[in-house]
Amino acid sequence: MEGRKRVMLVDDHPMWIDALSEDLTEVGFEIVAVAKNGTECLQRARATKPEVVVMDLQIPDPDGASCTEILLGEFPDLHVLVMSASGERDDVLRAMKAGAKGYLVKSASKAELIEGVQRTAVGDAVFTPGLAGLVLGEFRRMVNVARAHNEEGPVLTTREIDVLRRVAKGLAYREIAEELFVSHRTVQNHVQNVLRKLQLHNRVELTLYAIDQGLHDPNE
Amino acid sequence: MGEQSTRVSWLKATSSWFRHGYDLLGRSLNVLLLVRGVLALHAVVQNLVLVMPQAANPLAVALVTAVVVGWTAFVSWRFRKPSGRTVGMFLADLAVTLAVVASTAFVVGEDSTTMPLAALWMVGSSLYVAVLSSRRWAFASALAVSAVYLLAFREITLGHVNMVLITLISTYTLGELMSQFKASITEQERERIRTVALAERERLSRIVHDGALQVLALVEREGPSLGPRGIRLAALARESESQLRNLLRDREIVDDEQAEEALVDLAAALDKYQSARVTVSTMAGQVMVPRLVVDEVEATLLEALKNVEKHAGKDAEAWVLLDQETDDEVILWVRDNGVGMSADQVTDASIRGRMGIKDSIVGRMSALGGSAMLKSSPGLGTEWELRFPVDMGEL
Repeated sequence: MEGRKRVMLVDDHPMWIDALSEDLTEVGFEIVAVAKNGTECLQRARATKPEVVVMDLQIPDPDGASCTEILLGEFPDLHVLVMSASGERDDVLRAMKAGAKGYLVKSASKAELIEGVQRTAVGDAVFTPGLAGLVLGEFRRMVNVARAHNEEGPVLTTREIDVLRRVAKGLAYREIAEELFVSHRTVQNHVQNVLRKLQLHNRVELTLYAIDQGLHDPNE
Repeated sequence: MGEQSTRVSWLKATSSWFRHGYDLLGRSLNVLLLVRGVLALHAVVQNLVLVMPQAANPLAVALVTAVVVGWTAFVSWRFRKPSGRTVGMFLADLAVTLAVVASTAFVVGEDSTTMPLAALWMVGSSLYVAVLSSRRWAFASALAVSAVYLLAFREITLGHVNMVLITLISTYTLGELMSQFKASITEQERERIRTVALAERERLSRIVHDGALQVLALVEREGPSLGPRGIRLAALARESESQLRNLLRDREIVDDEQAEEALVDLAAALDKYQSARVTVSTMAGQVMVPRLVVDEVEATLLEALKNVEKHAGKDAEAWVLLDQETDDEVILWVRDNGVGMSADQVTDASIRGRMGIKDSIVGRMSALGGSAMLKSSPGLGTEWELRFPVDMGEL
């Protein structure tokens, strides 16, 4: 690794910030900024330009999902790992669609958390079983919406569905790779692809929404 | 709502139409008192001016007229308070009305073809029932009055038929309108309760979320590094954390409709099985399914999870995934990472009915028109794949 990865922590609970920064510093990350609300988060991210942001979803305004949207709009190369204690589904999905790399619940173990940040830092997708289930459902919803507009919609390949379902059923990537007779990397790629499709289609869906609302200019 | 529980308020909502804020009853009652008073006045004037001079028994006419006035005052006074609105009182009112109507033939004599003693006043008792009690009883009472009225005359004229029609139509209309009002006020009150309860729940969840959940998650995280006691604390924290989280997630305020065909959200129903050892993954949206189906699916899931607890081993975890391939079918996977079973054990178990496989899981699924498949091998845990239709077309 060339140099230490620069990390920013966003959480409105000082105790969480303390615990996280201790753990992450220990394994070689550099904490360049912490923020306890959305406004601080945006300001400090712009000032310190971290490579990785660990984002709590429930922070005072703007919330974590909105911050993720804004930051990824400004810094597309930023890697965001979303964390939350209660898993508000819509917020989690919103953050993932905005381009967050992964999602962990706060009750994840220390090891899971460190691994999650490490994988996020190199651009891998971090999926929990809960997130995989959410994403599967979201694709079905998006396809239905797209069909209602006579569009194709984002279709997952059979393989991608196989992989996601196994993630949701609690299998580790290694176990999935064994079951499907593919490499660990291939599993990782599938998950990554799913995430990319999700983000890509989010833009399509926003356009569809704009058309629905009559906001779209056809000459554009 | 004050200190009442939401559930109690919910049940009480059906009677909110006469409570202070709406006071539908109070206002209707005032109108009703006025109407019956005017009708009584009408009867008095008609009896004294038109009927008495030609009546066979003028004194009796005066007496009946006095009864009309006296009874109107008495019954209206009794009905002002809820305690006075007894079934007996309604029956007494009806009886007096019937008596006054029936007395016409005896009191007025041969000449009674056009001038009934009660006049329009006879509608009054039925109107009271329509407002204060139910529309069915009101209509029944109107029918009784009409019948006696028609029987009181030797020959029936168009005027009599018109009176009967007015009695029936006004009672029917008023009863119908009142029950519409009551229903919509109940609905409105329930909507209000639901909104208030949801808002309160949201407020509480924010507080719990910002406080307790964070601390519990931290204990879970830091506990294990403090040795065996810490591990135990972490496990406890994990239990209460998932309990709290499920509580916060539960959006169902009250069982709206207990009906078996009422639609409920399957995803929300399954979410509550999330625990320290069970991870439930569902979609963000709702899967609306008849309550009957949800009950069966929950029972099946419970059986499968019970098996995990009993047979999969101490450290086994379970994952539940709810997914769909088509809109009319739901797939539910229940997987654990426990000790698993060999093919022989599976066959054995399903034949001997051990572990509730045959009836509780396979049986339930086939009853729903679905299927249940068990996959397991030693050391690799077990996995149920449950499929069932949720096509709600007919159900």
